[in-house]
Amino acid sequence: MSKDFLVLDQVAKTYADGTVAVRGIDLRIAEGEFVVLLGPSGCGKTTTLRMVAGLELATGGTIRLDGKDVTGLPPSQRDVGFVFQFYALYPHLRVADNIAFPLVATGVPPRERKERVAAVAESLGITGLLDRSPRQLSGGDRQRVSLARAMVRRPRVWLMDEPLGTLDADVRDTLRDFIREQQLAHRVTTLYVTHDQEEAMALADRVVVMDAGLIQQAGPPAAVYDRPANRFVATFVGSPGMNFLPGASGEGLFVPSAGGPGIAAAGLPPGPAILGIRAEHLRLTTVGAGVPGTVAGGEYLGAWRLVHVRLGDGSLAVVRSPSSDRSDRPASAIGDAVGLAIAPAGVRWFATDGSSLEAR
Amino acid sequence: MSAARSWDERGAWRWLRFVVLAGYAGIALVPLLWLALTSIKAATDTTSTTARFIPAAESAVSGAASHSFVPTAAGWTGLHTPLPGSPATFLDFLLSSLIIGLASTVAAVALGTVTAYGFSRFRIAGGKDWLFFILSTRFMPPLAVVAPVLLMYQQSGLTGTHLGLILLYTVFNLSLAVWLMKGFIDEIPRAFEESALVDGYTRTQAFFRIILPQARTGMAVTAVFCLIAAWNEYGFALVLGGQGAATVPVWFAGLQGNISGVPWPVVAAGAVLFVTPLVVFAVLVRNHLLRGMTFGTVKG
Amino acid sequence: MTDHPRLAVAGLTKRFGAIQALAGVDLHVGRDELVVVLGATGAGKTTLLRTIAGLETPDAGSVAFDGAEATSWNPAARDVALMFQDFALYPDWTVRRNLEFPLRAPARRLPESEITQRIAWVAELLAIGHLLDKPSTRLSGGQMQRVALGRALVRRPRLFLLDEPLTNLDAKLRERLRLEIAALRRELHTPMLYVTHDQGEALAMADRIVVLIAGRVAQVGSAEDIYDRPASPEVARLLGHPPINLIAATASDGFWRAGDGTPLAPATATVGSRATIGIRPEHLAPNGGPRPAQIRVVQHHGAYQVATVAWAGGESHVLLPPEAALPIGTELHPSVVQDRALIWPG
Repeated sequence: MSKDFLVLDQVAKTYADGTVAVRGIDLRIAEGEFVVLLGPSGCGKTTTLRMVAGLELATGGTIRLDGKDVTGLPPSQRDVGFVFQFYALYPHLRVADNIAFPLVATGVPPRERKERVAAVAESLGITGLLDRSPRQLSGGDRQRVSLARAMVRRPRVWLMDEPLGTLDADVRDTLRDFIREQQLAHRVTTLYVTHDQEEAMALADRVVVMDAGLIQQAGPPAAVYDRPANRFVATFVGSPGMNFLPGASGEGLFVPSAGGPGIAAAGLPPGPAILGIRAEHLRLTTVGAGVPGTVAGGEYLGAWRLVHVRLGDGSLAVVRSPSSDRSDRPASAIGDAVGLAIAPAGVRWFATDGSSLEAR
Repeated sequence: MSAARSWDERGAWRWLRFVVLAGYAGIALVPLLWLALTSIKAATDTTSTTARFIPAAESAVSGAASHSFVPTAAGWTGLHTPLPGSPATFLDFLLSSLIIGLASTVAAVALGTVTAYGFSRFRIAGGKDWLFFILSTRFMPPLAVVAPVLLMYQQSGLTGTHLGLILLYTVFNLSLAVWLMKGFIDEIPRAFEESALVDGYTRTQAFFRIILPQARTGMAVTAVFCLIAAWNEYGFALVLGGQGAATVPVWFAGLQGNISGVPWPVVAAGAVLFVTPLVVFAVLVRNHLLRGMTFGTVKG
Repeated sequence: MTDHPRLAVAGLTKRFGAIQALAGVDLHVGRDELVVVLGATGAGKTTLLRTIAGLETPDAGSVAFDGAEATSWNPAARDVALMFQDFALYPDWTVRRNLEFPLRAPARRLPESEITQRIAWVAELLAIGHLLDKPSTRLSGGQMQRVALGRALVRRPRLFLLDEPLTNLDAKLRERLRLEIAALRRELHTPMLYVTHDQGEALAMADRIVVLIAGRVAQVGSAEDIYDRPASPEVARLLGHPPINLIAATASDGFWRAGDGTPLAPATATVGSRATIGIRPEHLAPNGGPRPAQIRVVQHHGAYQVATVAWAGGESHVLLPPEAALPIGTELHPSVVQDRALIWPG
């Protein structure tokens, strides 16, 4: 297995009208790895994917696949499979012919074609649909067929552009499991684009967080969630995003500007800093025992409950607790004065420019 | 260094583009220029064996082999001469063309848009069959029905009237207009007028305020097609136009039988005037045509 | 004051050819509440909303506003504001002109000074003042959503109808805007009927949820009610993420047992009777149970992990703490948290 199977070296894209979509991306993807490009719309993730596919040409840098420079090659010579966001099925072909289409192009004999279409249809549970026309299918089934078409061929790389974007939640969950299981079974190197951090975390071996045409952080899901490199990553990854308390440190103690008791901050240089903490590491307590604030609202999420607390400096903090935990329920009506208790293990430090102060 | 090279490349591209476009413009414009030149030549200059295309004063023209000619307004004044056996001059024909062309275009586009809106937005019993029927009116070659139409028009006194040809061209263009406009209106989201309905507008108001502005491109395209068809039509204009409503194509045909040969300078002058309204019309709708091409988004 | 609800819908039925979109829907919206209609694609949600707005005529049933029978009223007379999934902003117009459009409707035309005031009010409320003179095609998705919301708010209608207004936006933006919409509505004290297929939106926003399945109301209640006590397995499957584990079971020796014999919950029913057992992933502890379960897939969700395990004759989801490093193939012994299994006999 090659460690540098798919390599992006300073890859950049500037459109003819001057729009800069990607500013220079370095990425090394190992063979069999599942990498997810995550970011808000306009961050350059789709453009990056399309450059790897050859649907856009890079205006700077090189892309190497399995040691070969493919930067200027047309898509057909790269041996990649692409799943589009909007199931780009051919309406005039039956489902079976749609799935077989990539095999026709590569000259697979008819009998083998049939076998492989049957096999992939079986594993996706769409055997009964093979003789239908795409027009007769629901959105979920169309996307299944679209996935089948991408997966019937074993290309060297699977490229997926928000394939689950517009589907209902239950279909999305099922297909997400399916994609991961297939990828693990065949160990096909996969580059997957999404704006949904939950999807990214759930699927990826490695999440690449992008913003403004640049990579903000790349790492395993747990690391990106737990040790974000900057405030953008901390906010974008996780639902809700990380809470931030600005304040100042001195003599090993950090005092939030919103008030409350000092927090141990060994090793933090004196001066202004920002404390970052995830919602599950905050707990509601009495006013005196934590950072003071008032309850501004709540969200029930089934297994969890979120409480939004307005702090003295006007910012909002979010507390997450299991719905089954009734201990803080009495103190969570809108307008109640509460304190926020901070679990020391969850504390992360950031500089005022937003970059992480954690040793890495 | 790379910056300098890319500047050079850009400069070279710009030159190449200029040369190609200038070459194409030259090729496209030469016939029109020739037409304009012909309209100011004397009849003998138009039929000489050497090509004469340099306007010059009389003193500068030297001999039969010269490429120069002496400009004259005879072709243009010839437009005032009535056709043999008729009191009408070119300007009468042009006026008929303008009235008939514009009126039938406006009528076809208006009726086509309203009809297409109906087909696009409402479930009409047998809707698809009606649409096909509308298209099928174009299947028969128009000249095959000249005789019955002539009989009908004679009975109802429509021969030789502007109204007669306006009605006829509107009917012929309507199927094209309905089909073109249905395609354009299908592309306009229903939510556009539905949100206007919920906001307190009637359907008619929503149609005029929302759908019509959105359908501008389609209406411009349709209008161009309809006007060209009506403008150039000859067969019906000849048979049904009679004395009162004959259009310019009939006038051109009338010159063919001239005993002193075809008066080319007059033909050229008429042709210049004949194409001018179409050019003006195309320029006027140009912005609406291009508007439809500028949609599209960039996605991250 | 009357005690009529703002909107009352009774026995609403609508058929499109072979498709029964609505099959006798009853629901009401009070004078100051946010009701979410939750259902899968094709459940009839949009048809319901369009019928209430007067854009579709029902085959049977009635729509009433404040007690007044309104089934035959035209859309303009109903005085409701409808926000579409794709926003339906007019592309060549500026934001201001889009916002003014409902106020210039002949049916309820306002004086110019009032129009100016309303635009200023809504621009301030939604923080879109800097966008007023931009063409609507130049906006980002989030900005378009705000302007579309503004166009609904500016009229101060008697009822807001929102049709999946967040579906086309980024996940992160959705989370923020759903809070804003609910808060704005509370501030304006105007009732809202909000249609979505996203269970997270429904749980987080709703004062009451109406679950729509195949054109029928399957359950009505608060978010907690429906999540904790779903009326049927179909309702249970619509709410909760990761989705609930549903297992067919048979009663024997005091337990509901899965097909492979795994005990799921205490049973008092006669031996041999059948039931569907629902266990939410958060109520399935990873260990402490009698039967082994092999991990097939693990997905990280930040604050927790979701393991898909082979258990009780099928696949089930189990929540794991974020720090647990359990490779694929590891054996767990899931156990159901006491009293948390849901049982639907039959």
